[in-house]
Amino acid sequence: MIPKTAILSLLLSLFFLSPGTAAAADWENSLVRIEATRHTYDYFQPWIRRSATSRNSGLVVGEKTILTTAQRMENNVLTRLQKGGQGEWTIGRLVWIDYYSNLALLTVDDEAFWEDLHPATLAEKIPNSGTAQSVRWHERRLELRELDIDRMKISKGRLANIDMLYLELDFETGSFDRSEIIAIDDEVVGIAIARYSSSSGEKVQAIPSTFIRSVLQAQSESDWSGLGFFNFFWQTTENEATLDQLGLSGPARGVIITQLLSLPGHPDVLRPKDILLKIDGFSIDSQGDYQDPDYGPLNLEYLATRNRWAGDQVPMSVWRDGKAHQITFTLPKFGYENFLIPPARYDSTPEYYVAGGLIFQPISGGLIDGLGRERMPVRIIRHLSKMRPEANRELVVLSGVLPDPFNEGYRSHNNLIVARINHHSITRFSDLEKAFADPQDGFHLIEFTPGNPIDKIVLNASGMDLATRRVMFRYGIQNNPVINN
Amino acid sequence: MVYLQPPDWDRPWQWERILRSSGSGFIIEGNRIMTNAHVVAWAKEIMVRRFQDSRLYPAKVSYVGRDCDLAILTVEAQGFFDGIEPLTLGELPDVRSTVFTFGYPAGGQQISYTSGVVSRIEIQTYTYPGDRRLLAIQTDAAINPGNSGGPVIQNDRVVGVAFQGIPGLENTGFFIPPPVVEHFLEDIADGSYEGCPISDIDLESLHNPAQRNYLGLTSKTGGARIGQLLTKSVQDHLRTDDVLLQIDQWPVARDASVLYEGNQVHAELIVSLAQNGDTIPLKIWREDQEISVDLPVFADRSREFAGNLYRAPRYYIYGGLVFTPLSRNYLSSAFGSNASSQLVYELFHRWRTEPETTRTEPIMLANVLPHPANANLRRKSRVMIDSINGVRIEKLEDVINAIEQCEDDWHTIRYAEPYDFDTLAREKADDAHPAILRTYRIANDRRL
Repeated sequence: MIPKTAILSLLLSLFFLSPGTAAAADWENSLVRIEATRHTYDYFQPWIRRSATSRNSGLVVGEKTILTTAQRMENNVLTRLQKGGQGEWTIGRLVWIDYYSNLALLTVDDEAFWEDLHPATLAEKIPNSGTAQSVRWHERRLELRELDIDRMKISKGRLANIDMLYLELDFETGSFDRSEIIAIDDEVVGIAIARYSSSSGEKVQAIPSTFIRSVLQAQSESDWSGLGFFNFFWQTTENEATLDQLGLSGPARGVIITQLLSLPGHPDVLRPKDILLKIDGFSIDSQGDYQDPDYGPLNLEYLATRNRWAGDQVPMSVWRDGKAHQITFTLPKFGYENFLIPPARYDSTPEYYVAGGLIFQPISGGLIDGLGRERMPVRIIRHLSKMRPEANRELVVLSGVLPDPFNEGYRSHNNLIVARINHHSITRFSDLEKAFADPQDGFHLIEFTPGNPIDKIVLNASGMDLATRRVMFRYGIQNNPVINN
Repeated sequence: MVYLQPPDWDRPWQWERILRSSGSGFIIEGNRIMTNAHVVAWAKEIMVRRFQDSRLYPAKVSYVGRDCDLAILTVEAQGFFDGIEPLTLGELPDVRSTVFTFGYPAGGQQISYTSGVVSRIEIQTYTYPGDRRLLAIQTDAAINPGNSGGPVIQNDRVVGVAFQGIPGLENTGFFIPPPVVEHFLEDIADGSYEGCPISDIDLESLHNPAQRNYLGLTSKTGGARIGQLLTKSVQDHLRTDDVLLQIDQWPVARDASVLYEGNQVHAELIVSLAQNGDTIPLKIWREDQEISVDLPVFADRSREFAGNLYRAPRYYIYGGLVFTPLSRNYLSSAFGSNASSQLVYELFHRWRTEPETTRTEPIMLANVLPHPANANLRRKSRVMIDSINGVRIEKLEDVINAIEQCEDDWHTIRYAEPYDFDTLAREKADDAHPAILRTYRIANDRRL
């Protein structure tokens, strides 16, 4: 656990926000290497913990503060840092991480490490075109390579399915490191998060410095509430007949709300078939773009994160029932937990419950990826991207069976969605304990949702504890169950 | 020799290029030729040739068994059947016994003979319908394209019809065994083919001692548990947690199999070998006692679209919007192996998980034929329809009714999740409709 006061004291001391104090390009003394070791889990055997180590770039951005991306920093066990591209590694520690914005901050307690290190400057503005440089430590030397700025683009993040602004650059050949720094002259304009191929060639996607600045500033001012998002689907309005039908005359403009993704506790102020005309004072065109003062036309989804955070009130103008209405939309917080199948769960061990050799787990993106997305039945995949109908609602599966005489006949079963155990509805993973504590006439009755290959498993209640202990011993399970609540 | 022309599933009023194909067949009693359904699928012209005879005779399809992949051809030309002794059906061959295949693999003028042994006999997926599992025999005799429809012979009798192989597996071919062939011939004896019944019961293995105790089966050695009951017909006769002890004359083992002619095969086989509407006597264990149940079984064709069809697709065109049912053929043709999980779920799974929201025949907007009247539509193709003018679309007729009975100024076409929609000005679409049909040379705006 990272103490919040420590985070704030570090962030308040950052000085990258003052343009006047920007240092000249001194990459040797502001760019460091990060070696992060993390736990990884095998969802076939969720009690097994392995580790993996990867190397990223880090950027000194303030007093005793190093910025990097959140990728590969999850489930962090050990972090070491190296300056100068070679030599000694120094133990560091993670002081703040946000997977949705894909940013993390580190520090090093050893005072000697900070000698000669200077903060780099995060650019306040990013040009839409021109040339930039990537900067990294590579084979013991500082390597600078040229890239062409392609555009600013709204796209999904690497760690969260949330639309954000990214800097996209053309990249010709060679390797590219995660967290590699993108700079123009002596200012950092972005941190790379991915390299990918597109129809127009090899691209590098980077988190823009402007976004990083706003996130860190919100943090430093205790204003950070997480990223917000628009929890609705919309469609463009190039079909004039649709606008006629909805009574909006004049040139095509705005977008039409098609579906609201209801969130527990979040009021739905929009309605299907509302025409969304303005967000935060920006007019929305018929393609869903607005004119950004810095970057020109951008997709409206960016307005959920453009200097806005979860909980902020966003003024909107909508066309409804033949007239314009002004409404206030409160940005819901984006979180993995909003989804019926959380896309990811970081910094916590996988949950599992082994009962007589039957392995139960809550379905998550990690489980699906771990077991193999292509092997997942459609009855599970179809729930991806559905929002949770109520707080804490989860889907629980019988993910597999550890062979034991007690579970004879059930060994080939896997990926079955649990509906009830001993007549108790299973709507969250923590329901399992209570349900298994209430056997029915000496049996445990495990029922699955319709459409699974089988609909019920029956086990002897009297032999369950002994069988579970035997299975734990035979398969090397030290802790059972693991329920994080 | 078959000249065939499959439909264009995206443009269902027209057909793909003409292709030439060949298969094998054999003569059975009644001056009939038996072959595989897939050999004559989409045939525009079928020509048959006798062994050692250069003449080609036109043939026509009399019966097609889509699910069992069998077909009957007849030849009207005088003299074709002269001097030919029809082949007769034999018994189910024994595993490890030798069989001979006859056919014209890869075309050819001369019959190709191969021999092999019966490797195993069990329920297999029939590849061409795609949605059925029926009894099949595996052999190591070579069965290649062109062999399809040819007889497999043992002791001068037909013990199978060669029909499929498995790509990547060597020395593995499959043929349709006598019980399935007999079922087909018996089925068509009344002049129409109904199909192989399906139980619509999830039959689950019952090995676990606790589960057997729970069901009160301490004194029984066999029996399989009845799980989900998928149709009202079976729900009227059976209950979940019933145990199937015997089906017809065959005791049911714990793994839901029966010992059929010396082969341990899934009990569903017995249902598939009954005729549509037959009643099968069952012995059921229910609430600690054995009872008898007569279960009527049916060849339910209402979900045929989950398998490959051999009939021209239904469609309806209005204002350039082409509507056609979602089917296995459509999915495969339009998306290959990249179909969305949403469509896969609609086609194959929803009826089992959410029967109350299952559509009789999910409808796709397959295409929009460009015209000024529809030029501004957002969606142009390959999207499932949720509703039109507020009417939930269950089948193609609902589309027609929703559109033709509309009196509003606009048609509102709502697509499946995430429920975006399009609007079509009714008067413009009505006016444009004949011109669009002419422009795209469409003779009929519907095939129902």
